[in-house]
Amino acid sequence: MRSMILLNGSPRREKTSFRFSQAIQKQAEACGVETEIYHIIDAFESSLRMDEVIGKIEEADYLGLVTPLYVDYLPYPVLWFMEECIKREIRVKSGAKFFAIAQCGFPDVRLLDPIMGACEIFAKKMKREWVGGIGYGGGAILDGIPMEELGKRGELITHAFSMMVEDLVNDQKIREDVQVEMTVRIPRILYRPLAFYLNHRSKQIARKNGVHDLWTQPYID
Amino acid sequence: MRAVILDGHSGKNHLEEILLEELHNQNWKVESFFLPDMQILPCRSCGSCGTKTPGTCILKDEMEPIFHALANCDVMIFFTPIQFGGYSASLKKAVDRLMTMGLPLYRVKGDHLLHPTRYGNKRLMGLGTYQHCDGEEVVNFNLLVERNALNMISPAYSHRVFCPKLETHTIRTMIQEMVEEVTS
Repeated sequence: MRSMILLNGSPRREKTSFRFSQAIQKQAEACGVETEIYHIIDAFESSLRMDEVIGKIEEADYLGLVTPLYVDYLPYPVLWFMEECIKREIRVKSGAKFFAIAQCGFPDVRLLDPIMGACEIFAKKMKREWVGGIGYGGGAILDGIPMEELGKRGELITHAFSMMVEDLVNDQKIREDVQVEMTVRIPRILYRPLAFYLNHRSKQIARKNGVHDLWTQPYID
Repeated sequence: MRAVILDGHSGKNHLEEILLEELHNQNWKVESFFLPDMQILPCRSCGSCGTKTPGTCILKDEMEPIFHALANCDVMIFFTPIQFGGYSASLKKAVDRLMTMGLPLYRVKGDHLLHPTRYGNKRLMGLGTYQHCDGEEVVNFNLLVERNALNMISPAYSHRVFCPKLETHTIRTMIQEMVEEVTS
């Protein structure tokens, strides 16, 4: 039986990246691929956990990274994990594959390009076949809600992941249609109303927290 | 100009000596932080710095002097070995915490939704060190610096990659060009 390890790259264990991982896991298991999810932050915090994850990765046919965008790139714990993998010269199963899902709050998935570039390079260094990456923009609105509770949006994402898993088990690169299915199309003309809504939400949350001045500068001389 | 160097190399780098000399020749005031030695916790994206304790991170570690330096500088300098076509983990541990320097709001600029900055828009220099001066890792690194400059709403930015085959006079010329690009 083939196996898959999904690495949740978010330091927050139960948010959007984890929900994406769960959705992929469901699809993979439906295709007969034994799938486990590990949080990179757990490996970062515990060397025992790191050893366990490495052992699993060495036996896995498929390795997937599911990560948020932090300041235009991979989060620090993910980079640390990647550097550790290379340092430890971990073994790779013959024919092993690597893919990535990256998500961000911004609508434009092209902002995820530096992450995809890094993941492809990492795959080469790990001697795993790079089978592609998928970006999701507008992830902040999902806010860690399970796919089943997201209605039409959840169905589209789930369908995209089922297409992706189908490609993986058929030993193919992830087809472009998956990205098309995942892409949230927000017309440029809606950016201002979207910004207005998001800003209103932030100010509401701040007021609930007793904060009235979002613009403070505690470090200015 | 006041500049802050965030150095993500694992050991002291001869290139940094040249960089400091060139910046001092331009009468820049420079503060440098060697990050591998600094105890900096990973950002948890908790959102506190946005809507609970605006501008202040709830993680108390050695980022405090870095926040202070960056808030008051004109130029941020990311100085890093290129890993997987981007910043080293040591540099990224500090860069992730710069979310504190942005506002939890959005503004539309061109085709993008961006976070306004809390302390004004800083210029950005990205200096990468790598075994080659070209190739896919260099291309990805340059793209990353450009994206950071876009999202930090930098009025000017510059990126260069330095490889071992470069002679000292070439390195100096490249740094002078970078200074020219961020101050024009």
